[in-house]
Amino acid sequence: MSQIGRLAILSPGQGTAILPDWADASGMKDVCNNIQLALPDGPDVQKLLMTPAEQRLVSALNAHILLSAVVGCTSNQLRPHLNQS
Amino acid sequence: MTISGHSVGLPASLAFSNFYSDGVQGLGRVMVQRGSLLTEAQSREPGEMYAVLWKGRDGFTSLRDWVKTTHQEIWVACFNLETDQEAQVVLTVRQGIDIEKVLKDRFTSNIKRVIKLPIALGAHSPLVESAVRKFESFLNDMLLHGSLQSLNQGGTIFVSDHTHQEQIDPVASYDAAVIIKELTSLNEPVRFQRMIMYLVNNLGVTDIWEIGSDILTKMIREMGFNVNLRSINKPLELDNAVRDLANLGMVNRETRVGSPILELGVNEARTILEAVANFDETQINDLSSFNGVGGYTHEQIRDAILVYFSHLFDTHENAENGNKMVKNDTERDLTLEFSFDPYVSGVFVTRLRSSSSNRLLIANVMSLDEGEEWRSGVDDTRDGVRISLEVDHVNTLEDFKHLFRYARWTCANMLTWDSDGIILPEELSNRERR
Repeated sequence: MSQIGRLAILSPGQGTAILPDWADASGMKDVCNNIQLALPDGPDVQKLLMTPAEQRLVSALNAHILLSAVVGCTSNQLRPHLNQS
Repeated sequence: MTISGHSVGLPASLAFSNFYSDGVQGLGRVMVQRGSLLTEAQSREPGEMYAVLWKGRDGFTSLRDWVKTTHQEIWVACFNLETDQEAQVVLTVRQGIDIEKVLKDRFTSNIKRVIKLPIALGAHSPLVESAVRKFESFLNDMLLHGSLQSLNQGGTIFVSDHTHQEQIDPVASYDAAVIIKELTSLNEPVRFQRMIMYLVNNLGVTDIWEIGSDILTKMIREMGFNVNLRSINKPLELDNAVRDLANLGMVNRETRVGSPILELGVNEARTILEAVANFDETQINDLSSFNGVGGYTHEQIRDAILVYFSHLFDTHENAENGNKMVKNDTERDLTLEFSFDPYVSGVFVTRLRSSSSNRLLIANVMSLDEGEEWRSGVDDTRDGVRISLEVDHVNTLEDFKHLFRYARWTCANMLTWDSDGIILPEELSNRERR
């Protein structure tokens, strides 16, 4: 990659199968802890993330939790480099 | 930068902006609330969602017209993709309808595939209407308490994936109230292809990165837009993206001068410089909004200076080697110069000297580095004004006002380079725009 012009960041919808690999991503533990604050009664964000996609309960809430974990982790790592305001 | 998404991807993408005041915590609160409300809606009005691949091209007309006749049983939730060969839509149906059979009976020659999506929801339809007001109220309460905020004007912009009428552009905004309205359009259809068209054709987007999957990038590829696509679908791909950006940052720092990253045209650059030159710095009343005064971010101003100086340099025969230009009046010399500084890689310096004694009267230094904060300084030996804006250095609001006045001074002189005379900082307010 030699250059980036005008960049757009997109995030997908609910049908996305979030890979359990994300549980091991750098900084993910902190991200899960932060999201868990909004879920005092569970489910456990990190456990949900580690569960293989086909074994997760399909629900709107689970889909939202999983996507926020991945996007939260990704934004934490990319934003310092993205020169954004 | 532009941020957007598909359905729930909209609130998720805002993590790449300053929208959530407390970062991931705020993102988590909003996403959990949205997910909970939609789960609740599903228990009241159960729905299912199906991707439908449609052979041939008819502008989605046949399906769209047909669902209107189904008496609130079936809705087009997402107008995703249409090529010369086929279209892809997502239908929301009330739970219990055998939609595959219904479609194949009705549109025998057009239905290529019907795929049940792993979504426990009837999104983008009246089935989720009960969630709309509650979610709106939740977000407005967060806004009221400062947990959500508008995006920095001129910086990262949010683009919705809804269009409230078919033929108009999607909403693009920095404004938190507008963004909240879009986030709560849970019962409105998504028009994904139209949103991508807007990004590319109206905002000039050249690179699209998808976070968490490769579904959207695959669809965009099929649309045939000339954009660079990247999906970050697993941690390794995130590591690669971070590494690439870091490497790119190093390249940018080394080649900063003459390498603006925003690809502004000369006219755009002139517009930005005019906005800065004409902005009354006494209106600055909040340090946190300094990066955006005059309607432009420091990044835009920096790049406008780079572009406009390059334009001046290229169009003037008396430009000197070393990226320097000099202008004289009867008493003074004004120099515009790019130079390198060991601490901030590239700086743009405006100097005013006495012609007779060569004494430095004013030096205004503006960093061309990529940091989010201005790093600059001014030394006006005539008035004893000496301000340095640096990392770890506490500045007052008055410092910022002074610095902006000298930034105005630089811009004003660049814009009037071909006119007689040199503008002084104290003359700015009374000077007519060029």
